[in-house]
Amino acid sequence: MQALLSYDQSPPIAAPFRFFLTAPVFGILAGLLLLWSGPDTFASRWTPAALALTHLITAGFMLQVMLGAMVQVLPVVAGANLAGPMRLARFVHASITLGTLFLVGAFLSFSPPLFNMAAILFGVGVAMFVGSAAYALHGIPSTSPTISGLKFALVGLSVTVGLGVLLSLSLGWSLNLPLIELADIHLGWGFVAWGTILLAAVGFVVVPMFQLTPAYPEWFGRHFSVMALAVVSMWSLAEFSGLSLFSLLLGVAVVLVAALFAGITLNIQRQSKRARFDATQHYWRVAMLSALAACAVWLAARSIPMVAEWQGWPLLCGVFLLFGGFMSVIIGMLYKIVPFLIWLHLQNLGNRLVMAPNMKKIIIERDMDRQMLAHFSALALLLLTVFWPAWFVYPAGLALILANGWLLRNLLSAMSVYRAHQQKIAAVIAAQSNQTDS
Amino acid sequence: MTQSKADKVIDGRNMEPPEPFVQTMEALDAIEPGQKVLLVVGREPIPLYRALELNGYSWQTERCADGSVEVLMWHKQP
Repeated sequence: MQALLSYDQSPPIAAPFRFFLTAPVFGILAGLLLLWSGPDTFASRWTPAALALTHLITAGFMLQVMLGAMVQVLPVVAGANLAGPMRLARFVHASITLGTLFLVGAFLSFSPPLFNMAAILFGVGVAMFVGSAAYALHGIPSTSPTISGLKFALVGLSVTVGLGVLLSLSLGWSLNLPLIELADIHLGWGFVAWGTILLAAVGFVVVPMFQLTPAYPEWFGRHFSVMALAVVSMWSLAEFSGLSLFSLLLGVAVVLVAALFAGITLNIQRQSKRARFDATQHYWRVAMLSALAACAVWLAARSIPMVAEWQGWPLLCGVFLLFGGFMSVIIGMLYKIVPFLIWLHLQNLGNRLVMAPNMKKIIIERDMDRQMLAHFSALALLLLTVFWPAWFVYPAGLALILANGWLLRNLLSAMSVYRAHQQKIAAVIAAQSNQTDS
Repeated sequence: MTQSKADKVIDGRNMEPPEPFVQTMEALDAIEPGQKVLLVVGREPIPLYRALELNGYSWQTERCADGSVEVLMWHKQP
Protein backbone atom coordinates (compact mmCIF):
# COMPACT_ATOMS: atom_id res chain seq x y z
CA MET A 1 0.00 0.00 0.00
CA GLN A 2 1.41 3.36 -0.96
CA ALA A 3 -0.76 6.09 0.36
CA LEU A 4 -0.70 9.18 2.47
CA LEU A 5 -3.57 9.62 4.83
CA SER A 6 -3.61 13.32 5.39
CA TYR A 7 -3.35 14.21 9.01
CA ASP A 8 -2.43 17.84 8.61
CA GLN A 9 -5.22 18.64 11.06
CA SER A 10 -3.93 16.17 13.62
CA PRO A 11 -1.70 17.59 16.42
CA PRO A 12 1.72 15.96 17.13
CA ILE A 13 1.28 12.57 18.79
CA ALA A 14 3.01 13.76 21.99
CA ALA A 15 0.19 16.28 22.61
CA PRO A 16 -2.55 13.77 23.53
CA PHE A 17 -0.16 11.04 24.71
CA ARG A 18 1.32 12.98 27.62
CA PHE A 19 -2.21 13.07 29.09
CA PHE A 20 -2.98 9.42 28.29
CA LEU A 21 0.24 8.13 29.88
CA THR A 22 -0.24 10.16 33.08
CA ALA A 23 -3.76 8.87 33.81
CA PRO A 24 -2.76 5.32 34.93
CA VAL A 25 -0.08 6.79 37.22
CA PHE A 26 -2.88 8.50 39.15
CA GLY A 27 -4.78 5.19 39.13
CA ILE A 28 -1.72 3.57 40.78
CA LEU A 29 -1.58 6.42 43.32
CA ALA A 30 -5.28 5.78 44.09
CA GLY A 31 -4.43 2.14 44.88
CA LEU A 32 -1.49 3.20 47.07
CA LEU A 33 -3.76 5.64 48.91
CA LEU A 34 -6.18 2.80 49.70
CA LEU A 35 -3.33 0.70 51.10
CA TRP A 36 -2.07 3.65 53.15
CA SER A 37 -5.40 4.89 54.52
CA GLY A 38 -7.04 1.48 55.01
CA PRO A 39 -10.67 0.74 55.96
CA ASP A 40 -11.29 4.22 57.44
CA THR A 41 -11.37 5.62 53.88
CA PHE A 42 -14.85 4.15 53.47
CA ALA A 43 -16.36 5.53 56.70
CA SER A 44 -18.20 8.20 54.67
CA ARG A 45 -17.89 10.12 51.39
CA TRP A 46 -16.48 13.09 53.36
CA THR A 47 -13.39 11.42 54.91
CA PRO A 48 -10.16 13.12 53.78
CA ALA A 49 -9.00 9.86 52.15
CA ALA A 50 -12.34 9.38 50.31
CA LEU A 51 -12.15 12.95 48.97
CA ALA A 52 -8.50 12.45 47.96
CA LEU A 53 -9.35 9.10 46.31
CA THR A 54 -12.28 10.62 44.39
CA HIS A 55 -10.06 13.41 43.01
CA LEU A 56 -7.22 11.04 42.12
CA ILE A 57 -9.75 9.35 39.83
CA THR A 58 -11.77 12.37 38.59
CA ALA A 59 -9.01 14.99 38.25
CA GLY A 60 -6.06 12.59 38.02
CA PHE A 61 -7.37 9.85 35.74
CA MET A 62 -10.51 11.10 34.01
CA LEU A 63 -9.64 14.75 33.38
CA GLN A 64 -6.21 13.80 31.98
CA VAL A 65 -7.66 11.44 29.36
CA MET A 66 -10.65 13.69 28.59
CA LEU A 67 -8.49 16.75 27.89
CA GLY A 68 -5.95 14.66 25.96
CA ALA A 69 -8.75 13.25 23.83
CA MET A 70 -10.17 16.73 23.23
CA VAL A 71 -6.77 17.96 21.99
CA GLN A 72 -7.07 15.25 19.35
CA VAL A 73 -10.81 15.31 18.67
CA LEU A 74 -11.30 19.08 18.31
CA PRO A 75 -9.17 19.44 15.15
CA VAL A 76 -9.89 16.05 13.61
CA VAL A 77 -13.65 15.74 14.21
CA ALA A 78 -14.75 19.36 14.48
CA GLY A 79 -12.07 20.99 12.29
CA ALA A 80 -11.26 23.30 15.24
CA ASN A 81 -7.49 23.77 15.12
CA LEU A 82 -5.94 24.67 18.47
CA ALA A 83 -3.25 27.33 18.18
CA GLY A 84 0.14 25.90 19.27
CA PRO A 85 -1.23 22.48 20.36
CA MET A 86 2.08 21.24 21.82
CA ARG A 87 2.67 24.35 23.91
CA LEU A 88 -0.94 24.27 25.12
CA ALA A 89 -0.78 20.54 25.92
CA ARG A 90 2.47 20.99 27.92
CA PHE A 91 1.06 23.89 29.93
CA VAL A 92 -2.36 22.37 30.64
CA HIS A 93 -0.89 18.95 31.41
CA ALA A 94 1.62 20.40 33.89
CA SER A 95 -1.07 22.55 35.55
CA ILE A 96 -3.63 19.81 36.08
CA THR A 97 -1.02 17.22 37.09
CA LEU A 98 0.46 19.49 39.76
CA GLY A 99 -3.02 20.76 40.64
CA THR A 100 -4.20 17.19 41.35
CA LEU A 101 -1.16 16.46 43.52
CA PHE A 102 -1.71 19.67 45.51
CA LEU A 103 -5.42 18.95 45.87
CA VAL A 104 -4.85 15.41 47.11
CA GLY A 105 -2.21 16.72 49.53
CA ALA A 106 -4.68 19.39 50.66
CA PHE A 107 -7.44 16.87 51.43
CA LEU A 108 -5.07 14.61 53.34
CA SER A 109 -3.43 17.40 55.37
CA PHE A 110 -6.24 19.97 55.34
CA SER A 111 -3.58 22.60 54.73
CA PRO A 112 -5.01 25.95 53.45
CA PRO A 113 -1.98 26.88 51.28
CA LEU A 114 -2.27 23.56 49.43
CA PHE A 115 -5.97 24.22 48.69
CA ASN A 116 -5.03 27.67 47.36
CA MET A 117 -2.24 26.27 45.15
CA ALA A 118 -4.58 23.59 43.78
CA ALA A 119 -7.22 26.23 43.03
CA ILE A 120 -4.73 28.43 41.16
CA LEU A 121 -3.25 25.56 39.13
CA PHE A 122 -6.63 24.09 38.11
CA GLY A 123 -8.12 27.54 37.51
CA VAL A 124 -5.29 28.71 35.26
CA GLY A 125 -4.74 25.38 33.45
CA VAL A 126 -8.40 24.70 32.67
CA ALA A 127 -9.13 28.36 31.81
CA MET A 128 -6.26 28.23 29.31
CA PHE A 129 -7.64 25.03 27.79
CA VAL A 130 -11.25 26.22 27.64
CA GLY A 131 -10.15 29.61 26.21
CA SER A 132 -8.07 27.97 23.47
CA ALA A 133 -10.79 25.41 22.65
CA ALA A 134 -13.52 28.07 22.56
CA TYR A 135 -11.35 30.24 20.27
CA ALA A 136 -10.74 27.25 17.97
CA LEU A 137 -14.48 26.41 17.91
CA HIS A 138 -15.49 30.03 17.37
CA GLY A 139 -17.29 30.32 14.03
CA ILE A 140 -17.50 26.54 13.48
CA PRO A 141 -21.16 25.68 12.86
CA SER A 142 -22.71 22.89 14.95
CA THR A 143 -23.37 20.66 11.96
CA SER A 144 -23.29 17.40 13.97
CA PRO A 145 -24.32 16.25 17.47
CA THR A 146 -20.62 15.72 18.18
CA ILE A 147 -19.67 19.35 17.49
CA SER A 148 -22.53 20.78 19.56
CA GLY A 149 -21.77 18.21 22.29
CA LEU A 150 -18.13 19.35 22.43
CA LYS A 151 -19.26 22.97 22.84
CA PHE A 152 -21.73 22.11 25.63
CA ALA A 153 -19.15 19.89 27.34
CA LEU A 154 -16.78 22.87 27.53
CA VAL A 155 -19.50 24.78 29.39
CA GLY A 156 -19.87 21.78 31.72
CA LEU A 157 -16.10 21.65 32.30
CA SER A 158 -15.93 25.41 33.04
CA VAL A 159 -18.71 25.26 35.64
CA THR A 160 -17.36 22.05 37.23
CA VAL A 161 -13.84 23.44 37.61
CA GLY A 162 -15.16 26.93 38.51
CA LEU A 163 -17.11 25.42 41.41
CA GLY A 164 -14.15 23.25 42.35
CA VAL A 165 -11.88 26.32 42.48
CA LEU A 166 -14.48 28.14 44.60
CA LEU A 167 -14.72 25.19 47.01
CA SER A 168 -10.95 24.92 47.22
CA LEU A 169 -10.52 28.64 47.87
CA SER A 170 -13.27 28.59 50.49
CA LEU A 171 -11.36 25.83 52.32
CA GLY A 172 -8.10 27.74 51.82
CA TRP A 173 -9.49 31.05 53.11
CA SER A 174 -12.13 29.61 55.50
CA LEU A 175 -14.92 31.40 53.64
CA ASN A 176 -18.45 30.92 54.90
CA LEU A 177 -19.99 29.11 51.91
CA PRO A 178 -22.57 26.27 51.85
CA LEU A 179 -19.93 23.62 51.13
CA ILE A 180 -22.18 20.54 50.99
CA GLU A 181 -24.66 22.07 48.53
CA LEU A 182 -21.82 23.45 46.39
CA ALA A 183 -20.05 20.08 46.44
CA ASP A 184 -23.24 18.32 45.25
CA ILE A 185 -23.69 20.85 42.43
CA HIS A 186 -19.97 20.50 41.55
CA LEU A 187 -20.31 16.75 41.13
CA GLY A 188 -23.63 17.00 39.27
CA TRP A 189 -21.94 19.25 36.70
CA GLY A 190 -18.81 17.10 36.63
CA PHE A 191 -20.56 13.77 36.07
CA VAL A 192 -23.39 14.85 33.79
CA ALA A 193 -22.78 18.26 32.15
CA TRP A 194 -19.06 17.60 31.56
CA GLY A 195 -18.46 13.84 31.77
CA THR A 196 -21.59 12.40 30.18
CA ILE A 197 -22.01 15.13 27.54
CA LEU A 198 -18.38 14.71 26.40
CA LEU A 199 -18.72 10.92 26.48
CA ALA A 200 -21.88 11.09 24.37
CA ALA A 201 -20.34 13.58 21.91
CA VAL A 202 -17.39 11.26 21.31
CA GLY A 203 -19.56 8.11 21.59
CA PHE A 204 -21.84 9.26 18.74
CA VAL A 205 -18.79 8.83 16.46
CA VAL A 206 -16.70 6.06 18.02
CA VAL A 207 -19.38 3.57 19.15
CA PRO A 208 -20.84 2.90 15.67
CA MET A 209 -17.39 3.21 14.03
CA PHE A 210 -15.34 0.85 16.22
CA GLN A 211 -18.07 -1.43 17.57
CA LEU A 212 -19.93 -1.89 14.26
CA THR A 213 -23.28 -0.88 15.73
CA PRO A 214 -26.14 1.09 14.18
CA ALA A 215 -25.96 4.87 14.71
CA TYR A 216 -27.52 6.47 17.82
CA PRO A 217 -31.14 7.51 17.10
CA GLU A 218 -31.20 10.88 15.34
CA TRP A 219 -33.56 12.53 17.87
CA PHE A 220 -31.28 11.48 20.68
CA GLY A 221 -28.13 12.85 19.06
CA ARG A 222 -29.82 16.13 18.27
CA HIS A 223 -31.30 16.76 21.72
CA PHE A 224 -29.14 14.94 24.27
CA SER A 225 -26.51 17.60 25.07
CA VAL A 226 -28.92 20.50 25.30
CA MET A 227 -31.33 18.40 27.37
CA ALA A 228 -28.58 17.32 29.79
CA LEU A 229 -27.22 20.85 30.17
CA ALA A 230 -30.72 22.28 30.69
CA VAL A 231 -31.76 19.84 33.43
CA VAL A 232 -28.45 20.15 35.27
CA SER A 233 -28.74 23.97 35.18
CA MET A 234 -32.34 23.94 36.45
CA TRP A 235 -31.53 21.39 39.16
CA SER A 236 -28.55 23.50 40.32
CA LEU A 237 -30.72 26.60 40.63
CA ALA A 238 -33.39 24.70 42.57
CA GLU A 239 -30.76 23.09 44.80
CA PHE A 240 -29.08 26.42 45.49
CA SER A 241 -32.36 28.21 46.14
CA GLY A 242 -33.39 25.57 48.67
CA LEU A 243 -36.52 24.56 46.67
CA SER A 244 -36.35 20.99 47.94
CA LEU A 245 -39.28 19.49 46.01
CA PHE A 246 -38.14 21.00 42.69
CA SER A 247 -34.60 20.03 43.49
CA LEU A 248 -35.65 16.41 44.07
CA LEU A 249 -37.73 16.22 40.88
CA LEU A 250 -35.05 17.87 38.76
CA GLY A 251 -32.41 15.67 40.39
CA VAL A 252 -34.41 12.63 39.25
CA ALA A 253 -34.55 14.15 35.75
CA VAL A 254 -30.73 14.58 35.71
CA VAL A 255 -30.24 10.95 36.73
CA LEU A 256 -32.76 9.72 34.15
CA VAL A 257 -31.05 11.68 31.35
CA ALA A 258 -27.73 10.00 32.19
CA ALA A 259 -29.50 6.61 32.44
CA LEU A 260 -31.09 7.20 29.02
CA PHE A 261 -27.65 7.54 27.43
CA ALA A 262 -26.53 4.29 29.09
CA GLY A 263 -29.73 2.46 28.05
CA ILE A 264 -29.55 3.58 24.41
CA THR A 265 -25.86 2.70 24.21
CA LEU A 266 -26.55 -0.82 25.53
CA ASN A 267 -29.38 -1.21 23.04
CA ILE A 268 -27.31 -0.27 19.96
CA GLN A 269 -24.39 -2.32 21.28
CA ARG A 270 -26.69 -5.34 21.35
CA GLN A 271 -27.06 -4.91 17.58
CA SER A 272 -23.29 -4.94 16.91
CA LYS A 273 -22.31 -6.82 13.76
CA ARG A 274 -19.19 -8.20 15.44
CA ALA A 275 -19.48 -11.91 16.23
CA ARG A 276 -17.33 -11.79 19.38
CA PHE A 277 -17.04 -8.80 21.74
CA ASP A 278 -13.54 -7.35 22.14
CA ALA A 279 -12.12 -5.61 25.24
CA THR A 280 -13.51 -2.21 24.19
CA GLN A 281 -17.03 -3.59 23.88
CA HIS A 282 -16.84 -5.40 27.23
CA TYR A 283 -15.54 -2.20 28.82
CA TRP A 284 -18.41 -0.15 27.33
CA ARG A 285 -21.01 -2.69 28.40
CA VAL A 286 -19.76 -2.90 32.00
CA ALA A 287 -19.51 0.91 32.08
CA MET A 288 -23.11 1.41 30.95
CA LEU A 289 -24.41 -1.29 33.35
CA SER A 290 -22.43 0.33 36.19
CA ALA A 291 -23.88 3.73 35.30
CA LEU A 292 -27.39 2.25 35.44
CA ALA A 293 -26.56 0.63 38.80
CA ALA A 294 -25.31 4.02 40.12
CA CYS A 295 -28.56 5.66 38.95
CA ALA A 296 -30.60 2.90 40.64
CA VAL A 297 -28.73 3.36 43.94
CA TRP A 298 -29.29 7.13 43.77
CA LEU A 299 -33.01 6.72 43.05
CA ALA A 300 -33.35 4.11 45.82
CA ALA A 301 -31.72 6.48 48.32
CA ARG A 302 -34.21 9.17 47.33
CA SER A 303 -37.26 6.92 47.67
CA ILE A 304 -36.53 4.19 50.23
CA PRO A 305 -35.86 5.49 53.79
CA MET A 306 -33.84 2.42 54.77
CA VAL A 307 -31.37 3.04 51.91
CA ALA A 308 -31.29 6.79 52.59
CA GLU A 309 -30.27 6.15 56.20
CA TRP A 310 -27.42 3.86 55.19
CA GLN A 311 -24.19 5.88 55.16
CA GLY A 312 -22.65 3.62 52.52
CA TRP A 313 -25.00 4.47 49.65
CA PRO A 314 -23.06 7.50 48.31
CA LEU A 315 -19.91 5.36 48.37
CA LEU A 316 -21.62 2.53 46.49
CA CYS A 317 -22.95 5.02 43.98
CA GLY A 318 -19.47 6.57 43.63
CA VAL A 319 -17.69 3.23 43.11
CA PHE A 320 -20.19 2.23 40.40
CA LEU A 321 -19.91 5.61 38.69
CA LEU A 322 -16.15 6.26 38.92
CA PHE A 323 -14.51 2.82 38.76
CA GLY A 324 -17.31 0.91 37.00
CA GLY A 325 -18.58 3.70 34.72
CA PHE A 326 -16.11 6.38 33.75
CA MET A 327 -12.82 4.50 34.26
CA SER A 328 -14.09 1.46 32.34
CA VAL A 329 -15.39 3.43 29.37
CA ILE A 330 -12.22 5.55 29.24
CA ILE A 331 -9.91 2.52 29.21
CA GLY A 332 -12.14 0.90 26.58
CA MET A 333 -11.78 3.98 24.37
CA LEU A 334 -8.01 4.25 24.95
CA TYR A 335 -7.67 0.73 23.54
CA LYS A 336 -9.06 1.94 20.21
CA ILE A 337 -7.85 5.54 20.11
CA VAL A 338 -4.19 4.83 21.02
CA PRO A 339 -3.54 2.14 18.35
CA PHE A 340 -5.49 4.16 15.78
CA LEU A 341 -3.47 7.34 16.40
CA ILE A 342 -0.19 5.44 16.29
CA TRP A 343 -1.23 3.78 13.04
CA LEU A 344 -2.29 7.13 11.58
CA HIS A 345 0.96 8.90 12.48
CA LEU A 346 3.14 6.00 11.25
CA GLN A 347 1.15 5.79 8.05
CA ASN A 348 2.09 9.40 7.35
CA LEU A 349 5.66 9.27 8.63
CA GLY A 350 6.22 6.26 6.35
CA ASN A 351 5.98 8.72 3.48
CA ARG A 352 5.00 6.08 0.88
CA LEU A 353 8.11 4.02 1.72
CA VAL A 354 7.31 2.04 4.87
CA MET A 355 3.92 0.51 5.67
CA ALA A 356 2.38 1.21 9.08
CA PRO A 357 2.10 -1.88 11.31
CA ASN A 358 -1.20 -3.72 11.58
CA MET A 359 -3.36 -1.86 14.12
CA LYS A 360 -4.04 -5.09 16.02
CA LYS A 361 -0.31 -5.54 16.67
CA ILE A 362 0.12 -2.15 18.36
CA ILE A 363 -1.47 -3.36 21.61
CA ILE A 364 -1.78 -7.15 21.73
CA GLU A 365 -5.36 -8.37 22.29
CA ARG A 366 -4.29 -10.78 25.04
CA ASP A 367 -2.68 -7.94 27.03
CA MET A 368 -5.85 -5.84 26.78
CA ASP A 369 -8.03 -8.78 27.86
CA ARG A 370 -5.85 -9.55 30.88
CA GLN A 371 -5.71 -5.90 31.95
CA MET A 372 -9.49 -5.78 31.61
CA LEU A 373 -9.87 -8.75 33.96
CA ALA A 374 -7.61 -6.99 36.48
CA HIS A 375 -9.74 -3.84 36.24
CA PHE A 376 -13.01 -5.75 36.67
CA SER A 377 -11.52 -7.60 39.66
CA ALA A 378 -10.55 -4.23 41.19
CA LEU A 379 -14.12 -3.01 40.60
CA ALA A 380 -15.65 -6.09 42.26
CA LEU A 381 -13.30 -5.75 45.25
CA LEU A 382 -14.06 -2.02 45.60
CA LEU A 383 -17.80 -2.79 45.61
CA LEU A 384 -17.23 -5.37 48.35
CA THR A 385 -15.11 -2.82 50.26
CA VAL A 386 -18.15 -0.54 50.55
CA PHE A 387 -19.89 -3.28 52.59
CA TRP A 388 -16.90 -4.85 54.37
CA PRO A 389 -14.07 -2.28 54.34
CA ALA A 390 -11.83 -4.08 56.82
CA TRP A 391 -11.79 -7.28 54.73
CA PHE A 392 -11.55 -5.95 51.23
CA VAL A 393 -9.81 -2.56 51.23
CA TYR A 394 -6.28 -3.98 50.92
CA PRO A 395 -7.04 -6.51 48.15
CA ALA A 396 -8.97 -3.69 46.36
CA GLY A 397 -5.97 -1.34 46.63
CA LEU A 398 -3.61 -4.03 45.30
CA ALA A 399 -5.98 -4.87 42.44
CA LEU A 400 -6.24 -1.18 41.51
CA ILE A 401 -2.43 -0.89 41.41
CA LEU A 402 -2.19 -4.04 39.29
CA ALA A 403 -4.90 -2.93 36.82
CA ASN A 404 -3.42 0.55 36.35
CA GLY A 405 0.16 -0.72 36.23
CA TRP A 406 -0.94 -3.08 33.47
CA LEU A 407 -2.72 -0.29 31.62
CA LEU A 408 0.44 1.82 31.80
CA ARG A 409 2.49 -1.12 30.52
CA ASN A 410 0.09 -1.64 27.60
CA LEU A 411 0.21 2.06 26.66
CA LEU A 412 4.02 2.15 26.98
CA SER A 413 4.35 -0.94 24.79
CA ALA A 414 2.23 0.83 22.15
CA MET A 415 4.63 3.79 22.38
CA SER A 416 7.62 1.48 21.96
CA VAL A 417 6.03 0.04 18.78
CA TYR A 418 5.71 3.65 17.59
CA ARG A 419 9.35 4.51 18.38
CA ALA A 420 10.74 1.30 16.83
CA HIS A 421 8.75 1.88 13.67
CA GLN A 422 9.75 5.53 13.56
CA GLN A 423 13.44 4.47 13.63
CA LYS A 424 12.81 1.97 10.86
CA ILE A 425 11.26 4.72 8.73
CA ALA A 426 14.19 7.07 9.44
CA ALA A 427 16.65 4.32 8.40
CA VAL A 428 14.80 3.61 5.13
CA ILE A 429 14.59 7.32 4.27
CA ALA A 430 18.31 7.81 5.10
CA ALA A 431 19.25 4.79 2.94
CA GLN A 432 17.20 6.14 0.08
CA SER A 433 18.70 9.62 0.24
CA ASN A 434 22.22 8.02 0.30
CA GLN A 435 21.34 6.11 -2.86
CA THR A 436 20.08 9.30 -4.50
CA ASP A 437 23.30 11.17 -3.52
CA SER A 438 25.54 8.49 -4.96
CA MET B 1 -26.14 2.36 -8.66
CA THR B 2 -22.40 2.55 -9.29
CA GLN B 3 -21.51 -1.09 -8.51
CA SER B 4 -21.73 -2.18 -12.14
CA LYS B 5 -19.20 0.50 -13.15
CA ALA B 6 -16.51 -0.78 -10.75
CA ASP B 7 -13.77 -3.33 -11.45
CA LYS B 8 -13.29 -4.01 -7.74
CA VAL B 9 -15.88 -3.58 -4.95
CA ILE B 10 -14.99 -3.27 -1.25
CA ASP B 11 -17.83 -3.57 1.24
CA GLY B 12 -16.44 -1.77 4.30
CA ARG B 13 -19.71 -1.70 6.24
CA ASN B 14 -18.72 -4.56 8.53
CA MET B 15 -15.08 -3.57 8.86
CA GLU B 16 -13.42 -1.72 11.70
CA PRO B 17 -11.26 1.35 10.89
CA PRO B 18 -8.72 1.59 9.35
CA GLU B 19 -9.51 -1.64 7.43
CA PRO B 20 -11.76 -0.06 4.73
CA PHE B 21 -9.06 2.58 4.13
CA VAL B 22 -6.25 0.01 3.98
CA GLN B 23 -8.13 -2.26 1.56
CA THR B 24 -9.18 0.67 -0.64
CA MET B 25 -5.64 1.99 -1.02
CA GLU B 26 -4.35 -1.54 -1.76
CA ALA B 27 -7.02 -1.97 -4.42
CA LEU B 28 -6.17 1.42 -5.98
CA ASP B 29 -2.50 0.42 -6.11
CA ALA B 30 -3.43 -2.74 -7.98
CA ILE B 31 -5.74 -1.36 -10.71
CA GLU B 32 -4.69 -0.24 -14.18
CA PRO B 33 -5.42 3.26 -15.51
CA GLY B 34 -9.05 3.34 -16.67
CA GLN B 35 -10.19 0.81 -14.03
CA LYS B 36 -12.32 1.79 -11.02
CA VAL B 37 -12.66 0.79 -7.34
CA LEU B 38 -15.91 1.11 -5.41
CA LEU B 39 -16.03 1.41 -1.60
CA VAL B 40 -19.31 0.96 0.28
CA VAL B 41 -19.24 2.30 3.87
CA GLY B 42 -21.64 3.31 6.62
CA ARG B 43 -20.62 6.98 6.73
CA GLU B 44 -18.84 9.51 4.56
CA PRO B 45 -15.10 8.64 4.67
CA ILE B 46 -13.71 12.19 5.05
CA PRO B 47 -10.05 11.17 5.73
CA LEU B 48 -10.11 8.98 2.61
CA TYR B 49 -10.98 11.97 0.38
CA ARG B 50 -7.90 13.81 1.58
CA ALA B 51 -5.73 10.74 0.91
CA LEU B 52 -7.24 10.39 -2.58
CA GLU B 53 -6.51 14.02 -3.33
CA LEU B 54 -2.90 13.72 -2.16
CA ASN B 55 -2.34 10.52 -4.13
CA GLY B 56 -3.78 11.67 -7.44
CA TYR B 57 -7.15 9.92 -7.62
CA SER B 58 -10.56 11.21 -8.67
CA TRP B 59 -13.76 10.09 -6.96
CA GLN B 60 -17.50 10.36 -7.02
CA THR B 61 -19.73 9.85 -3.96
CA GLU B 62 -23.34 8.69 -3.88
CA ARG B 63 -25.56 8.40 -0.81
CA CYS B 64 -27.87 5.37 -0.86
CA ALA B 65 -31.39 5.15 0.50
CA ASP B 66 -30.29 2.73 3.28
CA GLY B 67 -27.88 5.38 4.66
CA SER B 68 -24.71 3.82 3.27
CA VAL B 69 -22.27 5.79 1.12
CA GLU B 70 -20.70 4.58 -2.16
CA VAL B 71 -17.39 6.07 -3.28
CA LEU B 72 -16.24 5.30 -6.84
CA MET B 73 -12.50 5.98 -7.38
CA TRP B 74 -10.09 5.98 -10.33
CA HIS B 75 -6.66 7.30 -11.41
CA LYS B 76 -6.77 10.93 -12.50
CA GLN B 77 -6.17 11.28 -16.24
CA PRO B 78 -2.64 12.61 -16.85
